[in-house]
Amino acid sequence: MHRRTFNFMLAASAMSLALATSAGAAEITAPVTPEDIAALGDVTLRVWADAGEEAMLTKLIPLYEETYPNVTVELTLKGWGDLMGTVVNAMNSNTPPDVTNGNQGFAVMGTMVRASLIRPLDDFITAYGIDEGLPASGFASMQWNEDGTAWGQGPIYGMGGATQPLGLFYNKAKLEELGLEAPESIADLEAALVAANEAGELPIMLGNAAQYPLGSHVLGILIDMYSGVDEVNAWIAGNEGSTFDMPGVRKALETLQAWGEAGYFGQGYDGRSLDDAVAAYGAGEGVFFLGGSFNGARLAAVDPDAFGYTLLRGESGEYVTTGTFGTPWHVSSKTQVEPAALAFLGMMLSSDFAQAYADVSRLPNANLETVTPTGSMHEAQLAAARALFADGEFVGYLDWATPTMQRTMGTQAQMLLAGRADVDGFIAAVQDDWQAYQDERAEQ
Amino acid sequence: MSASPLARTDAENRQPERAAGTAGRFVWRHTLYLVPGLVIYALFCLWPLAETVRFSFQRWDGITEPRWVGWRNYLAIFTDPQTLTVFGHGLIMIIFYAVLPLLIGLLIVAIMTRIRIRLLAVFRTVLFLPQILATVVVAVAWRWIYAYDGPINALLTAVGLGHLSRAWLGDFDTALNSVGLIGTWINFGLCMVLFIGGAQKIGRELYEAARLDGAGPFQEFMAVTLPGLRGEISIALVLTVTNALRNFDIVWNTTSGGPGTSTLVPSYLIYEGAFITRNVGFAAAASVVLTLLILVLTGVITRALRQRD
Amino acid sequence: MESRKEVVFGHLILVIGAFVALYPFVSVLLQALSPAPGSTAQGLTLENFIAAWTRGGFSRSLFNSALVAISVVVATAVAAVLAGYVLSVLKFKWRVLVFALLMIGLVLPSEARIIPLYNFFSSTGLLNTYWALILPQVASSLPLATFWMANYFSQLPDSLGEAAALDGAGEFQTLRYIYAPLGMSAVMTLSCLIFLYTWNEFMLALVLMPDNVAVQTAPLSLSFFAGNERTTEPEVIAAAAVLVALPVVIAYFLLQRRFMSGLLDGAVK
Repeated sequence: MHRRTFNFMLAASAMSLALATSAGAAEITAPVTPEDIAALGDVTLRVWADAGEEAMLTKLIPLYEETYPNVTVELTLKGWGDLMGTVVNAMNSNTPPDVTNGNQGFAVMGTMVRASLIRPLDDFITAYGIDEGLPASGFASMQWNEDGTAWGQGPIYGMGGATQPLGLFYNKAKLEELGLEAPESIADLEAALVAANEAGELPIMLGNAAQYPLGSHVLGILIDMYSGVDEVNAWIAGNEGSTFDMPGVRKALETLQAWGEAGYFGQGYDGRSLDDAVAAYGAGEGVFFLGGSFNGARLAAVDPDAFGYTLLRGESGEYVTTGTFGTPWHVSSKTQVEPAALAFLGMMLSSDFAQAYADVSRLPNANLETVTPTGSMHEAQLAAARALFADGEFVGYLDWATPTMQRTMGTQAQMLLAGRADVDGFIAAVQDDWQAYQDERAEQ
Repeated sequence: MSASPLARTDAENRQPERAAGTAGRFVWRHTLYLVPGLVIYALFCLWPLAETVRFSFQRWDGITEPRWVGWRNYLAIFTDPQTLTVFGHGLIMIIFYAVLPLLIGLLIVAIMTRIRIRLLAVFRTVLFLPQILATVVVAVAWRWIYAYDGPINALLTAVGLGHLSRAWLGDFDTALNSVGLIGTWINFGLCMVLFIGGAQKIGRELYEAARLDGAGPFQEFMAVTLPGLRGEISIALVLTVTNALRNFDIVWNTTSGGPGTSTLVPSYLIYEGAFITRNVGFAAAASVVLTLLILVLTGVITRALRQRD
Repeated sequence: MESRKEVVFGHLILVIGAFVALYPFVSVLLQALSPAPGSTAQGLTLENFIAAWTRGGFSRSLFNSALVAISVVVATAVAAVLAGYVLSVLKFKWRVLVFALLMIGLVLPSEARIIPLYNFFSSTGLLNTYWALILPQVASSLPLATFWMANYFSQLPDSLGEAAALDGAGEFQTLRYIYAPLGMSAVMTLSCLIFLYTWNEFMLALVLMPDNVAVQTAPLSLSFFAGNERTTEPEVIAAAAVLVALPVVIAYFLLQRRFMSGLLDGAVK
């Protein structure tokens, strides 16, 4: 009672301030109840999501609408690039989605935190027990200082539903033909690539028309193999004194260059889209595919047992890979239906719903240990994710580092493989981009 | 395609003589006729333009408080080698969108002036088709033609040049030229139709006089056709140069600026800065530079080719 | 006068030019008509069109394109007839200033106004509505349209207006009963031109209505459809492209004289 009066006085005494931050100021201490939501009357919950979430949402939305019959979910699905290009502006508009997918890093999450467009979720995570059984380090990329200028500590602004580690897919039939075992380390992979190439197979299927699969996924995995996790994460977070010129990065770039020279990616990969590449790989073209577990659902849909998936042990002997708790979900700070929004995320991230994620071949953060796989590839992915949660190390995506890093990395990686840039030039270009942004941050 | 500044010359030149009768009187009622159009024009053309100029002096992510940074964005445009390369691509596009179609059009009209064309209406209709198709449709069509398993590579393989086949839009060596050739395709018909139309207005007697003087086909072209087409050339260049510098649609729907930054053009840089990387001030400055470039080029073209009559 | 060799050679060049101009469109049309992999159809088939129509929501977006284009055409034509009349026939005192202002708009690229337009529509909540596409395109069509009508009216003899004035007609009646009917032909040609530009506009649509499928125009739908991960069959994308192009192509072949003279005279005037 006291507290409510106090809040009321605060609001009354500073009308303009209160208007700016009006909705969503109240913290929750327990899960939203159906009564709270029924009290909203007939409302619409606007949800924006990456197209990769479609299969999961197709299961979630009917369940949600059945539980809360007064809420209608209005879903907008977007391709990844399209989502990244529009989500910040949409959240800043007068009619933002109530719940949306975003992305870690300065360009998207940082901007939204800085402009107070998204609601901190700490109270929600505690109230719903979302963090139970999860490695605390996984939250780092969702935590921001209040200015939105640094991440790693502070309130949690987003949470993903399914972890998406980058890893190695292999075509089981082809490995058998070649007489190879599934690679477990980077050294195994290198040997397998040589063998595949000699046998006239396409060693790695790549679809790089959008530039990021090569610069972000393939290179990301290689950097994980050779570098120290803390070093890379510190650089991504923009810590002072960090440099991209690390021995592990250098080695990763040299390896990538050598793979390109050896023709492991075949022809025409820069003109092929990622989706076409996944489709072609699913149809039996290429021995390996380096990508995110998010590409796995498409492959499992082709044949749940034809492909294998594994994380690789780096030079340290540990599983190291790029990934976190997955593409983050956010709640708009301007939402007029906050209880409905929180209940939506609460249901999505609950352990009760985890099996629904697993049924579409994804790797839910909740109940990761106990969900049932859809097939042997999915089982391998689950095993990898469990190992990672137990004692592996998460590395951030390199493109979180600056708003322009995805373009810079993608460009440089293409140029490296086309013989238009060397390792030194690559490192210099990336570090220039990074430094320019750090100078900018310092000025803010 | 946009209209030409030539539009002015006609309307303006005519006004003074006709205005003489009732000139000089301001009638309030007359502004009522202008209000509907001018209000919309001011709100959605002039005011945004002014805003863009203002933004170009700021550092702004489009959301939080902007900071005034003076000429820094312009300085960045003119000192950053990457940005200069992008504007350089814009100039290369002018070669493909404007110069090549112009030369093709002139070559053809040089032949046409010597004969009577049968089925002219049919040819005109067909040659003009690329101009009316939506650029997105054009991009989808050409994406297929340039694809790794598309018709160009199939043709190359069929004639034994299979080793030349590649993903034309995904190769550093060919992407920019491939995008440019789409522009050539869009515009060559326009130039041909304009020039054929223009050549038909040139008096037959000029050609006969030239031939009596013993001029061959080449001298005839240089002495009669080319000067006679001055106006049409000016129009064609204004339209195609403007097209060349505003080819966002084609790039967005074919290469998105890749591979690397090899097909990044000014329009795309502006879009990316304004809406993806959230560097609004820089994008605004780039669009001011682009606008000035278009104004200067079209101004120079119309001035240089103005008919002296 | 003309030699046989030159006649044959000249027409050969024209035929080659026509082939090059037609090939991409015909190629897409044929691709759209051929069965997609996995289809049981033999020979030519319309099933890609059905797939594109149902999956891409093109019935909606073609309607949106038509609605936006017609609105822009009508609003622009009305405003331009009024303005053209006052500028050329009534000789508005500050017409030189008005013409100078309109000059700016003739060559102004969309890029130069896209950021403020986005901010404006975003803050007024009009983003993702028809207004966000109609208003800026009326504004950008106005300069050409106004010059066009002013130019047309100024070519009519002064005696028209004078005769009407003697009959006691006011300025507006003179416009309504004399100039406007006479200008209908010019308005029609102009309308074809503006319709074409508006139908094909891409950048404004991309930025100003990115998120509402219900109002998206056909070229934007096509761009999203062709880039969407759920549509990797090139045959269906080709069919979608044909669907988007078809209304304009049909209009072009029916009204080719108007289109052609519009596009060419638009440049010349």
